[in-house]
Amino acid sequence: MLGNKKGNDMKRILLTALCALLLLSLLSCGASNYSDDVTALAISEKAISSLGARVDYMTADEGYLDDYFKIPGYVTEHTVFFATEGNNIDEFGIFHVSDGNGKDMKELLEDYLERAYEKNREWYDSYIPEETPKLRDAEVKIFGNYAIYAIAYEDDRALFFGIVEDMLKQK
Amino acid sequence: MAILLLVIIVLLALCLVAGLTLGIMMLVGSPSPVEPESTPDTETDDMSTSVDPIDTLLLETNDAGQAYIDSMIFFGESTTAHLRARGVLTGGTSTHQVFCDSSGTKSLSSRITSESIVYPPTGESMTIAQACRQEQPEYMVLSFGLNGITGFINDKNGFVNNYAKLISAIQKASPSTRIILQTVYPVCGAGNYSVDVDTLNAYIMTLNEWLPEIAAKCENVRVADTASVLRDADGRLKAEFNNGDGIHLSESAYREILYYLRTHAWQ
Repeated sequence: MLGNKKGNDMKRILLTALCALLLLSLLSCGASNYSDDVTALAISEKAISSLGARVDYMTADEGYLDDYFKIPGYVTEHTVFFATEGNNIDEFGIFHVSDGNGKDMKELLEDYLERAYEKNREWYDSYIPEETPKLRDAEVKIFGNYAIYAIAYEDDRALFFGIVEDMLKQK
Repeated sequence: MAILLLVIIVLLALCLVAGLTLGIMMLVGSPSPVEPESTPDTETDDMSTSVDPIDTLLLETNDAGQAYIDSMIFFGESTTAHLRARGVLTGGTSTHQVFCDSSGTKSLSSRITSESIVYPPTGESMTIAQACRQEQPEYMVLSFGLNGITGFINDKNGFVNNYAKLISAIQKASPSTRIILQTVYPVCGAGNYSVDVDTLNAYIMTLNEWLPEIAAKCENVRVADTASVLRDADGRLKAEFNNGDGIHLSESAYREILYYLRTHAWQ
């Protein structure tokens, strides 16, 4: 009896250890909470329809960001759209990257925003000083394999990021 | 119990394999390096034709008259937009000869061909290429360089390539348009710029040296040194041509500029 009791104890310990390891390995798989199959174009269309009640937006052509960086090879798709009015510098970018490159894309975009601010603030301050804070306070966020940036007032940034997160959240 | 143990072990093995695979992918996958910002020593993008830059300068001619000015469309920074405000073109403050947007200014950048202007005849917003496709101007007079100059001075490649990009977009939309690049106007005040007025004017002179190089590499492009009529002996904007802020121009300055264009005509 004593031997059976010891055997059962061992089994319980082993079972507990295996369950713990199973749990750890599930966590280590790094399962994302975000989809990876939504196109940047679909996100931009949804965002424009929500943000565009007051402002007209247009999609940027290829080379729009050439002054700052070349699109890296790990970007599978991207789109940038901006306000058409010359005195409104609102701009939003969506970059879909391959697995593992979200952080690097975020750093690239943060660098772009910082350099754009330094490059443009002199003449923005001369002609459209109320717009300069948008670039100064611009944000970049990652949602799974999507790196997103927004140059806009705080409310519009929050609205935009909320739209993106809702579209990408795993159901 | 044994079956349960077996199931757990199998699931564990599958998850470990998946986790290891992901870990290996994250370790070996490396992003492309960020392209360094271009420097003045970097080769500019190759463009066709090889004309001597000095031959692109428009030399003195007989007065080509008001009809010559009437055949021009102007596109540039605020000093170009003010051609309308000063009422110096045919049509006065209602002229259709000035392309600009609602901010009344522009900066030369890689996004210049994406951004919109207000097309004067219809009031629609459209890109510069779309506007040129509709307008098919005989002459397009461009004026860029002061906005963003403290960045351009360290990025000749960026300035040249962005100007070439704009020229290319205009020419694709309106192949027969002759493009005239105006030299950057001098200033007599530094405004919000981080450098003093003499440094700013020195930067302006440097950019002006680059314009013939741009024109030489493009088809159907010339340079008009309109800034020369505005400059005093110290290289600053003459006081009588300043509207008060050291940077923008008076009505008499624009009349001098237009007369220079008429007497340095491209015909």
